Amino acid sequence: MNNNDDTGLIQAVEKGDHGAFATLVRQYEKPIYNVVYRMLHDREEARDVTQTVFLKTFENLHKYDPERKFFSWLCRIAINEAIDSQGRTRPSTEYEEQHSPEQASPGDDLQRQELHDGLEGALMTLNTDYRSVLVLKHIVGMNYHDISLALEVSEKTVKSRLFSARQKLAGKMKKEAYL
Amino acid sequence: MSSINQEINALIQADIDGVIGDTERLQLQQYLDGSEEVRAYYQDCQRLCEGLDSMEPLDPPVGLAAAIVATAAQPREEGAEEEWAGSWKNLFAIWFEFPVLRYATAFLVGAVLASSLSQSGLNDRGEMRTAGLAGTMSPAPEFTAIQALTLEQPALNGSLDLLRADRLLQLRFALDSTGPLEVAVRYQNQSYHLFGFSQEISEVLSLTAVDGEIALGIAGEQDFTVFLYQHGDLDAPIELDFKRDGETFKSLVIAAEQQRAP
Repeated sequence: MNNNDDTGLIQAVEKGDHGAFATLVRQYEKPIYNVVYRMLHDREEARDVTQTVFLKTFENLHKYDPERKFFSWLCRIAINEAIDSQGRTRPSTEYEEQHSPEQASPGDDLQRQELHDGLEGALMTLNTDYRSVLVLKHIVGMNYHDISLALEVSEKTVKSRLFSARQKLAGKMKKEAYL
Repeated sequence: MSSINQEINALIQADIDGVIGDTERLQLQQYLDGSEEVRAYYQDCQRLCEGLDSMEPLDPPVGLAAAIVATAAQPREEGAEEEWAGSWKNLFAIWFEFPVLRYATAFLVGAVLASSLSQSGLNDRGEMRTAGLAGTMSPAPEFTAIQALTLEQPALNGSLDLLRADRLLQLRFALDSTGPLEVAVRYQNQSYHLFGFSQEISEVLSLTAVDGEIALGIAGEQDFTVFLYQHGDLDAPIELDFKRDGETFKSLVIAAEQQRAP
């Protein structure tokens, strides 16, 4: 769905069309849930925060600037809400306690699963600036420009954060012998 | 001492992100050809980023979208109630302001009471035997049982009966689950709408309805009925999914022919 479709739906929501809001929610529920989940690594919390993200979006639709990509704006709200939620609940160092690797499968899949488990753990040890840029780049698949819109920083800052985040992540992965 | 400097790092990042130019690519190739350490570092970075890119997206919990839409609709309804209450307050203020309206109301109430007493014979009998509700009710539609299904699953036992009265359908559930479950009733958008809900035993934990889907959260013994009103296409099927922890363990489709009386 492109931004023009979104703008049409947003206008419909502002006129009281709940069906249009339901369409927006269904369209972006999965990516936003995944952004929040990768920021928090807690399914229950991710569910609550995703709900809050969409409700805040609904309440603040009049503030949305149609010149910006709706999805970038949504991601901005999601990242902020996830960071707020993490501040309210627990420090990321508690990650190990709830970490439960999924059942492993043989061969390459096992290695991949181990790598993913290692990455999930290592991601949670990064600060939120680094984690958010990695999530938007690799989990959502955004380009530098869209990440800069979502995080409200320059593209130069996005590149620099990505660079540092990957270095730190690689360092942690090497230390744990995943790389 | 490491031969990985900032420049090599920047070239590797640009290559991995697919934003590297031709000149830079040649430069990177020279570094890769000239150093085992750079090659190993490049492979590590590549593996790291491929690992991140290949992390499977999770499916959101079932019913999340429905819960969001239902919650978003709530404040506006509350606002409407306030508006309704406000308009009644205004009417009362106007009525109270004008004595002629107050006298007229008192006269009207007296006339109606006198008339009803005289018709019922209450004034003659000196006793009141009243039962039932004030107002009128349309006769209840007669439902025909169409389909009866039995559910025998490790997590869920029970039955589902389908009844029809013209375009009104009843899905009567009598379920006993070992833990929290979700029942999703799905249909093509606009083919049905949720007309009502009733329950006989215990409580349904949650009920949300959005376009094309009704989601019910249940646990333990549950007897409840979902009423659907059918629009247009009489052949529209109804799909039922029974889920535990977001995973569907039983699916049913009630096809058009199963919705008609035998």
